Amino acid sequence: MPLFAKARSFFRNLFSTLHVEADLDAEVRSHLQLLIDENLRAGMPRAEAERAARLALGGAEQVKEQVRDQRRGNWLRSVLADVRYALRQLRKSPGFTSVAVLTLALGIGANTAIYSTVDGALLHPYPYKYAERLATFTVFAADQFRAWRFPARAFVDFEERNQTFDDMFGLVYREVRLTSNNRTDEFSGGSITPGTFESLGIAPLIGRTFTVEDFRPAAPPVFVIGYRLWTTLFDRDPNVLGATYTLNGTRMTLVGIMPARFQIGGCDLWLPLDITRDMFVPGAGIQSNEIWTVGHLKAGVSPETAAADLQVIAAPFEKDDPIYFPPHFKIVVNTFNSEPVDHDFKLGLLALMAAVVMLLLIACSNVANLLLARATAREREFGIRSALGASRGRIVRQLFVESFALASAGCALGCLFAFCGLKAMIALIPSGTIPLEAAIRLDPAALVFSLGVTIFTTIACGVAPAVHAFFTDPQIALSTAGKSTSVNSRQGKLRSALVVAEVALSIVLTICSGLILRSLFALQNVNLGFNPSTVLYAQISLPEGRYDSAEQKAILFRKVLERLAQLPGVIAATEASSYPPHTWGWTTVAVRGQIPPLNRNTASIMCTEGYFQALNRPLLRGALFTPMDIDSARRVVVVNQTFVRDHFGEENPIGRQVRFSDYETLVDWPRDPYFEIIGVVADGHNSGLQDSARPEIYLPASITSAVPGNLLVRTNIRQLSILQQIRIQFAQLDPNIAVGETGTIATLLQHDYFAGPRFLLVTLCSFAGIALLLVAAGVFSLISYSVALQTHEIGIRMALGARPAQVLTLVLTNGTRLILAGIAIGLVTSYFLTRILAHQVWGVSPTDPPTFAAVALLVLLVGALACYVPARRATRVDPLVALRYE
Amino acid sequence: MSAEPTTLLQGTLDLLILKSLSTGEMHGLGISRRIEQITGGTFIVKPGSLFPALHRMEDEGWISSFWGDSENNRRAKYYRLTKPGRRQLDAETRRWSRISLAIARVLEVS
Repeated sequence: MPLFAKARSFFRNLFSTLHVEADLDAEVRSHLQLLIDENLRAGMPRAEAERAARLALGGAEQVKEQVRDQRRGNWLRSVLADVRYALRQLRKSPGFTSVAVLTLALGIGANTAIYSTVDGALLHPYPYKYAERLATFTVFAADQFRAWRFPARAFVDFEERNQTFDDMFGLVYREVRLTSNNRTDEFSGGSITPGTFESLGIAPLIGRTFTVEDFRPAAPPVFVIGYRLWTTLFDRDPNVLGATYTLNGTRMTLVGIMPARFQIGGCDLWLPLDITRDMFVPGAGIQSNEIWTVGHLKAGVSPETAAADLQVIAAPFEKDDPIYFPPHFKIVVNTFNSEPVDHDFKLGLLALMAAVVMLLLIACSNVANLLLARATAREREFGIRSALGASRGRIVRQLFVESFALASAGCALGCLFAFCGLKAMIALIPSGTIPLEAAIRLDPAALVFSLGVTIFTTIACGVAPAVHAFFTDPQIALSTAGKSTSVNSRQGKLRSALVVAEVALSIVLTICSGLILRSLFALQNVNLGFNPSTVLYAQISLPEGRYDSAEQKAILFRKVLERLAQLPGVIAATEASSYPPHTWGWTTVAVRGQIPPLNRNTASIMCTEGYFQALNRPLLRGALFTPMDIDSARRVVVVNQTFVRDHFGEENPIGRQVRFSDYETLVDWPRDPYFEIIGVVADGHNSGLQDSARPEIYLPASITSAVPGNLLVRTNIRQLSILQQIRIQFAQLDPNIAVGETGTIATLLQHDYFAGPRFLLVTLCSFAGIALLLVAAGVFSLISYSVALQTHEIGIRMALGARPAQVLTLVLTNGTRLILAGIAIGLVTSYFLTRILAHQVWGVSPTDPPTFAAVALLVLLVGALACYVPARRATRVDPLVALRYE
Repeated sequence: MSAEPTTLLQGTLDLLILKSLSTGEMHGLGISRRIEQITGGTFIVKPGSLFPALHRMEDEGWISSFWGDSENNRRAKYYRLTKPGRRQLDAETRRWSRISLAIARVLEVS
């Protein structure tokens, strides 16, 4: 019953407002009447009786408001009224509303877009079942990375004997040449152990995955392809399911197509692989037989515990497989989610997060500033409201409701901005920096996040006007509002402080973009020793069987290189195992007669005699390879300067003997493993653009067939037609040879080195641009407003003979003082904050003085311009008009 | 509620109003005069405290209201206790006696 009564009164209060109000009004009136009667009976004259009664009542409206305040459901009713009122207020000033909403939309939109990116790429990149527990492991030796793939027997032992994983599966990488429609293309394939698909919990898009039968040795060969391959090769034709194709010479049936986000191992297609302990697994890489191992950690098991478990299992391998498990090796388990993206990209994203937070702060202080200006103009309104019984709390709440209305509109528009901005951003993210599985989109989580940002924005924007309203005396407000002759000093200070903060934040943002711009320039100006746009590369994949011996391979490349050398425009052509500025093969080097070092720090390239000419690598000492050296696979080696410095110091290295233990496991490696140093060439980049050259050795490509050979061709001008020629030459020699990825070294650099900074540059610059725009708007509105308030004062000054130039100076000085203060604070803050960017910035100091100076000047210019427009308006004040209207 | 001459404990105003109404129906001014009279002027209840309390207690269902004529023929809103109101008065009275007894003991001891 009481519950029912409560509910009834709730609804009565909420809906029969008219009746309830009339009743309350009548009650208060009758109370007043009774009081008057009482006073009259006590013998007071009528006028005196009425006055005393009113005093005793204490204001009819206030009493009514106090009754309303404690009514059940009142909060909802009054909040609704506040919302209605706020919307009416905002509709009445469309200029203010649109500027404020747009400002907030930019701030909220930028935050939502970056959050979506961080969430999609960093927090939840993998679509797999229990992705947060998926882990893989690597072996380190003396803190140096050693291996991330292991031999079959290690895999089988890990899988069978571990105590800390729910399941474990393996993947062996292999290059797969797929022939369809008389065309052979090379794809990256992954041979997977039974249970992989089930463990990852992703169902095929169409068709099926592998069954237990498929893993039997005599089973008819089948394979599953990914969405990317289905799109590029088969144009998403569902009829390819069940068709047979030739994969590396074997007919196989396509049984399933996986959805877009299934990309385990980054492969295009997957094949079944059943591993036994002592089998040799064919695969790709210098060392075949290497299995990448992945598994789900048991719930609650930490990576460290799992690593300790695996360490025990791996202990005996130290004896059998010292290549993978060197003395004192250490296993490190990493969950997929711990390091999903490229480290630099992650730091870049964090920098962007900081940037959008600053942008949001600027947007908030801008809107807070606009709201403050309005609050001053509305002092009279608030005065009247409090005279009519509104408590200070109510007025403050009203202001928060208004800023919430603004923030909500900003949120809606901001999500639209984020949606469009995300598309542009995703296009800019360099491939390979985030997991292939990652899907960046505006999902419910991002919308919830943007709602959170909206609430933050409401508070951030509403606080300043609310504080102002709280401390405003209604009496003074009523008597002076709209007539103030100079800016209310406390409020003026608050607004000025906000503008100073805005300027400071924009300085920080702009300096960051400036530094990224400078480092991109520095990267693009790195001297490689050759023009990267005239050096072409082509990835070559040879069919199994015909070129298995080093000699067969050497003969093939000799033929191709001779033909290419004949082409007009070709300066030099060479076989090479990797392309600049990065070398992939690393080895330990032992000099005969010296103690062998343990670290695998020497870059190694298998090449032919044209390599040094193709990459413009000058000879410093000794001699280069001759065609004879290559054809006869002489055991000779050319080294770079750094190698000589590291191993021989000032001694003459020519004629010294060295061996490369990492290659000595190859079956066709020379029995006598010592190579003679015949020449020294100048250093060239081999660890990327940023790092200086590491020790490097060049070996004749004809020594072994185990290292895949690719082509490098230098032309006199940029000639992509040569790439076509390479395909034709190979097709003429053997149509089963697949020419894979081709391009110029310039395109490689673009992708590997410039795309990352460019992504950061474009995003940061957009944010800095928006920030500058907002700052200009903020300064403009502050100065315009103070000019409007000072019209009277300016009128008097001009009437007393001040010239327009003096008025201009007066206004400009006021504005510039604030901007300079902001710049000073911004520069100091940047000095400390840009260290965060240290990883993103290269070739320029994070506190680069020219960048700091240029940015300060830019912001000063923008600010001064924003001051100048209202200052000009001030000079046109007509003293007569200004004084008359006061 | 009046801050002077005595600050009342939270909820005490409810008890005073319920107690005043226990003798019969009464309008707002009547209630506040009654409280003044009983307490010998210790508690003066101003309209700004009285009416919110009356409306709140009506929402709770402890009292009900109706319009009637006053002693000198003025229309006035009258309040009377309901059954739940009586129960509430009993409960509040017991609680208050317990508290005052406890405080009295404390004062005697020290």
